Amino acid sequence: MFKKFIVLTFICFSSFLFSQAGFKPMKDTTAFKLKVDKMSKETNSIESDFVQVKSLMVLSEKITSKGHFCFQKQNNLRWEYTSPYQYVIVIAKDKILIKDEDRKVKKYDMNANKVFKEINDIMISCVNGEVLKSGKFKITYFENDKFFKLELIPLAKNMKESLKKINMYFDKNVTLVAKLEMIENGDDMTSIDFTNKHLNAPIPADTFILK
Amino acid sequence: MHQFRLIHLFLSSLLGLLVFACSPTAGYQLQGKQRITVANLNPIVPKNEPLLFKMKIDLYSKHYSGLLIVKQTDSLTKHITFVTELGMKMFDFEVQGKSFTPVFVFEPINKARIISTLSNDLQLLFLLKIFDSEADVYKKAQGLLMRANIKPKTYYTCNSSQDIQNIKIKGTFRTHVKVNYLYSADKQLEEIYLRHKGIFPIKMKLTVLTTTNP
Repeated sequence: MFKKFIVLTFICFSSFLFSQAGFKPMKDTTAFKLKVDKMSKETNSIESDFVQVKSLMVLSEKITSKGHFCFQKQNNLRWEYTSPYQYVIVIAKDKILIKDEDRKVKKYDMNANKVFKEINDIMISCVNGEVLKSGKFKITYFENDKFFKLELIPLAKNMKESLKKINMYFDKNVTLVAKLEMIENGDDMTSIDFTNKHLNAPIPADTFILK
Repeated sequence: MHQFRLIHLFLSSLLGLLVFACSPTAGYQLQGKQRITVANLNPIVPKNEPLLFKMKIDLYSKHYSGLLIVKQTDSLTKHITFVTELGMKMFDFEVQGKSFTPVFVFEPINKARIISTLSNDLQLLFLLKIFDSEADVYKKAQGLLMRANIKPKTYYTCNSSQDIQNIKIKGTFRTHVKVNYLYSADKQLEEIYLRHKGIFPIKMKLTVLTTTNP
């Protein structure tokens, strides 16, 4: 029994250390917040590829999907999944447009769908850095040699029911979000890695129109 | 009076013929009662590797789409989990033998009636209800028909290779639930369609994806 306890303690302690991956509390949070504020003001558009990995704990299974991401101020967002399926979701002017392999476009009013609105608000505020001012999360700041990491714990009751934590990773120059991790209450996790990022490049207007 | 009897006899015969012709067992020969196992019917869920589907579901008036994963997690347990494209988990059911338990259901669909209908339809289309159950087995050259000895009447049709082709749940006057299975030229399962009619209708379309890690 005692041996089991020792082994379990060791595993927990090791996994805790590993999960931190060399991250220490951030030294200068004021300077970091200023950088995020600058990033938020200077970012008019973002274009990037992404790799999304959904880790399902019970199944010990990971589902990987890939695609292309576009953001344009104020609230225009396009997620285009290209693998393993074709799926496009565009959020523009309080409308959600979805197009999948059937090539049919479905339209939804975002204000009529609280869940979508919440997801959209989180996504946009995470991408442009405004999440720090939203007051919806308790934020803890970390850093290592390569990244700044923010742990966001939701404060609202309805968000707490499904979301345990969001981890945001910024590169050291704080030009863009490099990675997002959304951890659910059952410890299932969705991580999104952004690669081939283009900042403030012109984005064609019809990017946010689906026909 | 005689003429009336003739008309009555004719109409009764016509009705009888119509009922017989519309019966799912028409053209089949009864082989007897059997306990259904993998010897009669090929399972949909493989034991050693997960099965991944692109799934679209019209649940009452709402439309959801995403990925459905079916995986054997240990020798007794399977999980059927649905995640939206954006990564949000919608439901997770645990299957152990004949028990089908919701482990997680996303709040907007976490209603007893929805969970019950969804559970029944998922068990039906993944053939979880028929295995190890007794059924009347009918045979013809092109395949088998199994009528499960449960209510409502449920008919499973498979081809001569024992691949499931369709399932029908019949009421007195019409089919309540219909499931169709489509296969590729090399006999791999490609698509499953389910249509559940009634006050709370459900439509599902599942398309097999080859891998979980492209």
